[in-house]
Amino acid sequence: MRKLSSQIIVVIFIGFIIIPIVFLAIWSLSTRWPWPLLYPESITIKWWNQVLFESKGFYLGLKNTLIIGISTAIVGVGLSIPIGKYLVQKKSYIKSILEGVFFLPIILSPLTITLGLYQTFSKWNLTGSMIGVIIAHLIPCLPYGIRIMKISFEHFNEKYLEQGKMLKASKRQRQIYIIFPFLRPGIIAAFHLMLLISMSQYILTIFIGSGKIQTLASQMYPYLNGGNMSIGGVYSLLFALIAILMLLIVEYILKKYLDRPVKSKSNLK
Amino acid sequence: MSKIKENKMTYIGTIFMIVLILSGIVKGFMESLKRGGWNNYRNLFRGQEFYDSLFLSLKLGIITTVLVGLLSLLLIYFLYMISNKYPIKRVRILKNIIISPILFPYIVAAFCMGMLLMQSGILGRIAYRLGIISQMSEFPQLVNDKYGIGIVIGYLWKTIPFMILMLYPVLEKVKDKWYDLGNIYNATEKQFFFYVVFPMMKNAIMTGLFIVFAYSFSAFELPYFLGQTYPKTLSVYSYLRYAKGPFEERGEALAANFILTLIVIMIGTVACYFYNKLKQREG
Repeated sequence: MRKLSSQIIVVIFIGFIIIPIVFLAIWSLSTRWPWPLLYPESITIKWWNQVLFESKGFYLGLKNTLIIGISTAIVGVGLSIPIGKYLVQKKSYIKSILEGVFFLPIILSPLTITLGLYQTFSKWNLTGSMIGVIIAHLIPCLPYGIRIMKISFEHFNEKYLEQGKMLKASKRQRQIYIIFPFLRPGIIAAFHLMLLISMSQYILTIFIGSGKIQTLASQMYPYLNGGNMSIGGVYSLLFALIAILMLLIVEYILKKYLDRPVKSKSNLK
Repeated sequence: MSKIKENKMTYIGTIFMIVLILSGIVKGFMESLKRGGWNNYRNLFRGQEFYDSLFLSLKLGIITTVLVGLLSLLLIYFLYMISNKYPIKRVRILKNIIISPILFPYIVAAFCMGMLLMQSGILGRIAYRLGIISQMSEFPQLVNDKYGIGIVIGYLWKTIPFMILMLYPVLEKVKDKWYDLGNIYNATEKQFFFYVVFPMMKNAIMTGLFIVFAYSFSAFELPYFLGQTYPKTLSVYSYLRYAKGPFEERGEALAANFILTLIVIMIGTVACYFYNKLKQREG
């Protein structure tokens, strides 16, 4: 009996979460859907066709989204590994302040920083450029990367490094064969999260891109905001699909790259 | 050599971040004083709209956080119950379904909630079919409504998955490490959850809820789509004034924005202080 009730509650939650997505899908396939019908009058793939094959807008947005997202995630991982390591190493007063500063973008919504940032970036001529948008996206992304890498380093046992030293592994070898495989889950998680956050940024892209840089999130906005909502539905679903696909690809590549087998270079055989 | 290089990266990254974040906040503050000076703030504090907006933002933030806290705890408890009965792989599939809204941006969440809850939305149609209502207008107004019900439900849809994303790894790890110990001491499943799993989740819960509160207090997408015209939340008020209002009013928009930032930072500092104190007491 108790087993049944816990199942029912989980099912209710899953229903609450899935129903909007299901109706999003139905909406993207419908032409007319007058009240009080529970399903549209007719089903059509017109909107999917229009987005995927009849215009280039989607692909332009996709290209920009991927370039910005991947660059942000790569730079983000590159920066968050040393910062995460630094935050773990020694406790100090400065460090707790730093941690506070790095926590800020997580709790502040992008809007609060964007308005001021726009003024600064327009002075530096960074508005309307891809690089400007990438730099701006680092603000909401990097804090998550830093937190993840910090947690990874907290679990790292220095003894592994000592063992490597004992076995005469060079500094580089120790990094490649001990530290990186250990950090792998953290790096993958950080990359995923930063990519996802960058992909779904809307207000930062609009302001810093000055409307010139179109990403998927900024493209779907006018459709969802009272435009052709079926196309908005198509965009939303494609967005989620691409996000899942990217996560799988990233995981595959990083696993392959970070899990290289140890080649024996020693001559003690 | 490589030590210096490593440190260099740390310094570059740190300085980069600080410059970016502060340039956003400080520059916003300076700009808010540029046209009109402190008068911008004075005007803001004099009008009733600012207080109404602030109150609405706080109200929505608090209600969202309390509900998210209760519901995500309930959900993780029942996920735990299920994980005792079924193989871990199946539970993981359930978890992955639950966290799927993370893949959608907030604007999509807003759109979905509109589609679901509007008077002409899906729920209204179901109610009509079931004979509960006989006209579209009889369905209660859940979107753009006085109480912000649509906004709160939208936040629930987006943030409960976020909480599960944070809590589920803890659940699996604790079960992995401590479950046998619980068995030795003859703990029931309920006891194991409340005396072992829950205390270990406390940190993640507090951090998660704090992020949820700060975000739902200061974000603008959901209230922009699903809120009513008066009062607006502080974030929507500031955004509309800045983006759509006349040029002279930008100072006031930035002033409202800066106050929003300040409140979040203040709440953050207080939360951090109590969090550290709690940690110290626990040793």
